[in-house]
Amino acid sequence: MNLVVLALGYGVVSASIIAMGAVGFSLQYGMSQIFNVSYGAMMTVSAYAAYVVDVRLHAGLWLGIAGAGATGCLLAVASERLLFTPFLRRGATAFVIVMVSLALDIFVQNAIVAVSGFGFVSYGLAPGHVYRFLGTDWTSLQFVLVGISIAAMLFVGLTMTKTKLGKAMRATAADPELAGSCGIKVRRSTTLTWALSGILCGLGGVALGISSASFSNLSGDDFLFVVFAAAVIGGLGNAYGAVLGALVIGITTEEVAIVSPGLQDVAAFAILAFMLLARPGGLIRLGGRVRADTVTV
Amino acid sequence: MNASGPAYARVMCGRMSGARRRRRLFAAVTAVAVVGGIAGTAAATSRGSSSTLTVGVFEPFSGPDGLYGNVALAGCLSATKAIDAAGGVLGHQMGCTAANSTSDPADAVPAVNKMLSSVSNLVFVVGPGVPAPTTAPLISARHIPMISANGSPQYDQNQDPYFYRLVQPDSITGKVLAYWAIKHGFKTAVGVFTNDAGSQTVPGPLAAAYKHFGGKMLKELNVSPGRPSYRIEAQEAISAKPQVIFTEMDPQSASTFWSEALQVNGKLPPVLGTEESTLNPWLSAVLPVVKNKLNLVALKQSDPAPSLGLRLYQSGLRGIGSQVKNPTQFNVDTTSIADFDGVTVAALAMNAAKSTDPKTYQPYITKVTGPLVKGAVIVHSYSQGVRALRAGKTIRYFGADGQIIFNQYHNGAAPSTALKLNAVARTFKAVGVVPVTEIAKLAALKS
Repeated sequence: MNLVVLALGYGVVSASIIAMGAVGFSLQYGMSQIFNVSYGAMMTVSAYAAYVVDVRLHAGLWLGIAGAGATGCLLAVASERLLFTPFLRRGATAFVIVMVSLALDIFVQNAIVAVSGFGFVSYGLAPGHVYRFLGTDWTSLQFVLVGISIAAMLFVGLTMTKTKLGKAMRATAADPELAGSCGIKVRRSTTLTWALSGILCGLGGVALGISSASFSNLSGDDFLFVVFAAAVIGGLGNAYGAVLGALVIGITTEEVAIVSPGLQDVAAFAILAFMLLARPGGLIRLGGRVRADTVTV
Repeated sequence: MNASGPAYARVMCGRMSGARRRRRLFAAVTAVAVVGGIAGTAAATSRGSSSTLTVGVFEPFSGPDGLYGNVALAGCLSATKAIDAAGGVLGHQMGCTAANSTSDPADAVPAVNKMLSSVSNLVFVVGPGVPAPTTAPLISARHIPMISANGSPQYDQNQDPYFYRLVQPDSITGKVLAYWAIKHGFKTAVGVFTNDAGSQTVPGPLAAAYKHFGGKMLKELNVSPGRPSYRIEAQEAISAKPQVIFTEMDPQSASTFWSEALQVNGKLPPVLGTEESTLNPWLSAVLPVVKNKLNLVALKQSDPAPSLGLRLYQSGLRGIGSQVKNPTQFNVDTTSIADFDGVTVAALAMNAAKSTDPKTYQPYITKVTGPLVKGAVIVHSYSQGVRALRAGKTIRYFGADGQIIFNQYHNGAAPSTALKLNAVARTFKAVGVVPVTEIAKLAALKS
């Protein structure tokens, strides 16, 4: 088998997991300019929620995935409403907000340990049948992950572009005051954006747990770096950019593994550093494509 | 041997030889700030009279490595329980105090200073693990002996007179794997290790020893830990068609790797692992996804013959439930057992020196342990040791992990037992031993 082609296929699988996290993260940033470091911990909590539903309650993986999305949604809205917004109202700077999200991250991590203890849990899913095509091979489980990711991306894309709600979200992200003066319910739009990002966060968490075969209280935080990288490379605040960033990171890191497996994280960081130097605005901006601040309602 | 209790001993960290697990982006940060109330020197965990001799358990009790503190505390408390039951040390009771080293080496320095300045009658330290390079010198400066769980090669030729190590150095672990593979006819191999500091101390000595014994390493894969996939690495490992795969990976990375290795052609070659793959977190993470397709033998530092010392250790664990949650989970935990032996040896050394002054009793640590000499009495417990010393005998302590022999670098040697996994029953069965004599030869082998 050609390893380069294999890595390309595997890269798409990795990208699909990264994309869910990165798009959710990017939505939060785009709406509120909050660099939410606790995002990884929320992914972890969502993965645990799916574990409880699927493994402990024997309700099945699909309900578990739904539970993860709901948990992510709840956590995102709660953190935005009860934590970040009060700080922003008090005029907290971006640095303070990052510190607040860091504190939340630490709190959530330790809360997980307090509830579930140290250790690793697994959904116990077998990889399933291996399908070989176009020089690559995927398991049925990987098809499911990619499918969920594509469905989620389509849902976000259609919501953002084809619905009034999406337009309101984008308008609020671009200029909240102007959006408010146009009759858009800014508060509601913000909350709904965070809810949507939370669902993606939850789905990303459970996808990570499935792909990794097991996870712990730190898994989401460990994964956060590639999520950041994808979001930044694509252009922070830009959902489409985040998808593109995820593809770049996912495929590159898999290809790099052919040369040296230990360099995967290094490659992701190198791309991030290069993009920050060359195009801080991200890939999509490079092409002058869709951005929230270009939308008219 | 049943490893179903979550013996978290050197979980993922192989004898905690590096900042292994916490390569992670936010783990260090977590460790810095985790549960502020716990940070710093924690509450005393046993008797607190002024005449009580105190053993400081300087290990992380918070953050990602937080369980290690309880591992060490369990060993210490089990030992002091036996010591106090035998009348204490020269009229003093002995107790253990948890001193949180946190999971971040940077925070460990103020933490050790706090322990050294605030804990009274500190006569011995269990620890430090990962932060040994920065904190052990501070403990030594106070002339306080310590038993460390740091497996790093930098202590293979330790010159610090107060630093002792009973856990197997990582360099020996690698050589033991190579020795076992060759002895069982595995002439070609692939190594799969995570590229964090802890795991990376194993592959070098392993590859050198394997080559020395005539084996051929087809591929050495050092992977980034915690990634969501290792499909390419798994493909490369299986495609090389090795007779055996050597491995040490943290539970999450291992579960990802082995489940994806199965994806390549549905079966796995024999696997030789380190002690890490006998630990409950590893089994919990890996077995659900590979089920009975993993043909694993793990080489673990332990004496396969149950000793009186081990029974005493395990008996002691049963009585400390109020201080350590579910202590019997550490029944076969190498690190906890080593800490039990370390504290017992220190107490015996105090008796032999007729002094509880650390500087005075420290040279006696190697006088109550070591190779058998003419006229020496073998003792398996603290009470036996005290009786023999009072009778004017020379003693040799055979602890919970068998005979204890410190070399000139204060590194202890112990046999390694090969444990074959029954993935269905989730148990291990001893299938062979690498004796102390072979371990000593392997130690002398150039890495």
